[in-house]
Amino acid sequence: MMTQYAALGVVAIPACALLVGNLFFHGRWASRMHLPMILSCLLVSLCSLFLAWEVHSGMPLLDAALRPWISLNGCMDSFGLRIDALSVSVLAMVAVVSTLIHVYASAYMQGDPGYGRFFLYFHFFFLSMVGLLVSNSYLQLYIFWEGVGLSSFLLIGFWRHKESARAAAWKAFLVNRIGDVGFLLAVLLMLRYFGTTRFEVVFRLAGELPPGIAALIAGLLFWGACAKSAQFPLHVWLPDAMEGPTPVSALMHAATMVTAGVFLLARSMPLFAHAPQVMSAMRAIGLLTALAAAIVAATQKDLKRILAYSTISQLGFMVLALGAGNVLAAVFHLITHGFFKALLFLCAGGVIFALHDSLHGATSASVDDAGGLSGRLPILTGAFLIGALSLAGLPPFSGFFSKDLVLESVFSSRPLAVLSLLTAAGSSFYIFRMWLLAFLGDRSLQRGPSSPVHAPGLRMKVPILSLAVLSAAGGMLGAPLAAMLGAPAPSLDLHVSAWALGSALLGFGAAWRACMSRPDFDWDWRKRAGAFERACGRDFGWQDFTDGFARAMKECADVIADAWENRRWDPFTESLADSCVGLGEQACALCRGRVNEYAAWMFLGTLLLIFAWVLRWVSCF
Amino acid sequence: MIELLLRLLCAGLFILGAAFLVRRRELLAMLIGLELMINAANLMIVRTALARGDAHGLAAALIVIAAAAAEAAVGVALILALYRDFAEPEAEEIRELQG
Amino acid sequence: MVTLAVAVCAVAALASAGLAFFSKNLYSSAFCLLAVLLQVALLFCLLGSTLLGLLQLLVYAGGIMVLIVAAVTAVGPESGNAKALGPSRAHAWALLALCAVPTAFFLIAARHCAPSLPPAAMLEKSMARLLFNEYALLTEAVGLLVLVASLSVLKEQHD
Repeated sequence: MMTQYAALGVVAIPACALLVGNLFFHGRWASRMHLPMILSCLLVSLCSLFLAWEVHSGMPLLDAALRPWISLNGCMDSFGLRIDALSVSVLAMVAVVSTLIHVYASAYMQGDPGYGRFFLYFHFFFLSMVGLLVSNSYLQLYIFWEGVGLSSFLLIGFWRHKESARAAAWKAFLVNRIGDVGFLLAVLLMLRYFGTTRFEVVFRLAGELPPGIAALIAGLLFWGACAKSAQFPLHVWLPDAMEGPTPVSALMHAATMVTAGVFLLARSMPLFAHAPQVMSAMRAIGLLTALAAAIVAATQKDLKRILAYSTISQLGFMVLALGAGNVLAAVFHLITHGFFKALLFLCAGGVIFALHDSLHGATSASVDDAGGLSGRLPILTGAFLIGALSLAGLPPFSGFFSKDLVLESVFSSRPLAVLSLLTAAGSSFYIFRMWLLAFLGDRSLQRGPSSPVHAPGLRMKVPILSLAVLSAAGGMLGAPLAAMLGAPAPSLDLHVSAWALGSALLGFGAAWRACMSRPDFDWDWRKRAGAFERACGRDFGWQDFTDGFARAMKECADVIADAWENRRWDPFTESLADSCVGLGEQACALCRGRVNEYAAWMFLGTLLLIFAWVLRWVSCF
Repeated sequence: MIELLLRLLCAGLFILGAAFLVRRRELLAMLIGLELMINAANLMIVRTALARGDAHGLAAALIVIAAAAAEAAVGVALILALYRDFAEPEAEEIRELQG
Repeated sequence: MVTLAVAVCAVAALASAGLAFFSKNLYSSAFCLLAVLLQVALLFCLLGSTLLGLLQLLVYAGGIMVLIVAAVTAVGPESGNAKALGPSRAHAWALLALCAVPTAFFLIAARHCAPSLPPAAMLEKSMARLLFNEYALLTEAVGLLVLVASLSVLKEQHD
């Protein structure tokens, strides 16, 4: 009984918090909008940890249909909750990380004129993600999926006075729409073939589908996940999404947005098992994305953009693991990534917050603006180092264990192993490069803080330190997670671990060599290889392609709008309206307010009635 | 014979009254047209009631006469009020309440 | 004889109504209406209901016509009609003839149709009984209506 209430509360509590915030926190109270939201986050965290404990101690799967919702033509779906190992493990991570980010945001956004609005959007983001995780059918998942897309749009464009923020919000929204079309088509196909989209039914009947259809559904789902989780063809929105406030980036990268795609893939694994072609596509795209994004991340200068490409790269790892069929590795990496990526983003946010006066109103900072901050911001430096160590996959930090699992799952194939080890070395390189450039060193071309540095307050320190602890110790979650998911407990394969450790150290060494031994290397190579830098900045030309595509579509639309809308359709509709007006003016002559005319019409009507009566009378004979 | 004569008379009076109402613009003239029509109808009621020996019809005719009197009085009062307020009080000038 | 009297009254009534219709003058229209009302009252008597005829004469010719003529004279000069002040001489003679001839016929005919009166008298009695028993409420209401209407017209003319 308790578990059912907890499961319901996971969705109901944030919804209530949103209602309360929306109805009662106006005017002076808008600056206290964070209170109901943080409270609701705390309660949801408690509920989800309780559920996780219950599932871990052997609670059977809870799949409850709450209320029949749509019933069409034999297709039936209901709103429902599904609590199983997969949803509850991701849910616990999402809830805990979101709680910490909410606390951080309440300090980071202090004094912003849109404080109340920000927290409403922010919590709606959280609600959508939580709802997505506990959905029990694809249709319901799709609704929350769109809710996630909508709130990301609202939050990326939160500083709507900035042209770039608006453009980024539109880009994110439209690219996600392109992916959502795939998801929607998959849902419709499921309704066509199964008559419902409930996971239970779909997974049970998936084997009976014609193989082409199974591959089509799986491919469309993967297409949708590609957009949400920023995989190669549709990743272009994520780097631009840095225009939002930093807590939004943290939430989006760690807990809510990009994990949705990976979660969808992990959730659909029983379906993907019947589509081996799609699984190999997943491996290819995951690896390609991971490697390319790691290279791009190593050349970026903006703090948040480096982290954005790093997220793309790490998501590529997860998709790679899923493509290899290893759900445990993907989910474990998803969770640890949630911890350390949130930590890294919050530290980056702390740096931006500290440099607020030196940035002159800019909402992001580059590694040139920072530099040599370690003395003034020791806590941030240490916490960022923990996040970096975890991301690079050095023991005993959490990233080591999860990345190890991912590598293990692809180690049987040599090319995959080589490429993923290269990527691991690359991630180690870019994250240490970032740490070294931003926090250490004294370089000639570094600007550094020009005004006094703001030290982070308590409400920023506590989430950062908690996340540092979680990133450091998250590796211990592997065994219980494996037990919940019913996978064999992860045991370190020393062979793989050695390779992984080696590549991480290699990356660290390269970063040290590039940034510390030759202080101005990061500026020098840009002068010498400008073409390479530009290519990296544009994702090796892919951004040019998508921009060109968007521009061509827009021009096409403009031409159609001009030729058809302006020249044909508008005149046509206007002439319709004009003729209606003319007709009305003519008809006005019937009622110009002359009583005599009205009387005449009345008599005419009476005459007609009499005529009708006479006709009836005549026809009686 | 009487029947036919009366029917013709009623029809003629009614049509003349209606024509009067439609043609004339002055409000008082319209009131006169109305009176003509009421009388035409009333004549028919009385004739029928007498022919059938029906007292109810006669009562109705009496009430019609009284109601017509009241209507005419109210009409005249209204017209007087309008004449006071409008310089040119023809029916088509008074259209403040037209939609 | 009665038939002839009815025919004369009918023709006179129609002629008066036509005269009213074709006269542009409000004042003469009002007098034409008076003639029509008179013929109708005569017709009521000829048909057998003297009571209704007398009432018609009283209420219409005595009450309503006075009102209308008073209103016409009150507003006449301003109504923009040059001939509004009075009927032409020919018009007046025609009207007088239209009133006098049927009245004369009626007086002659009334003597002849006297025996047919009793059943109509019975009918009038039962009408009176109906009005004050079955239709009492209606009678009261109409009476009140007439009272209020006359008050309103009094008020207007006083102003």
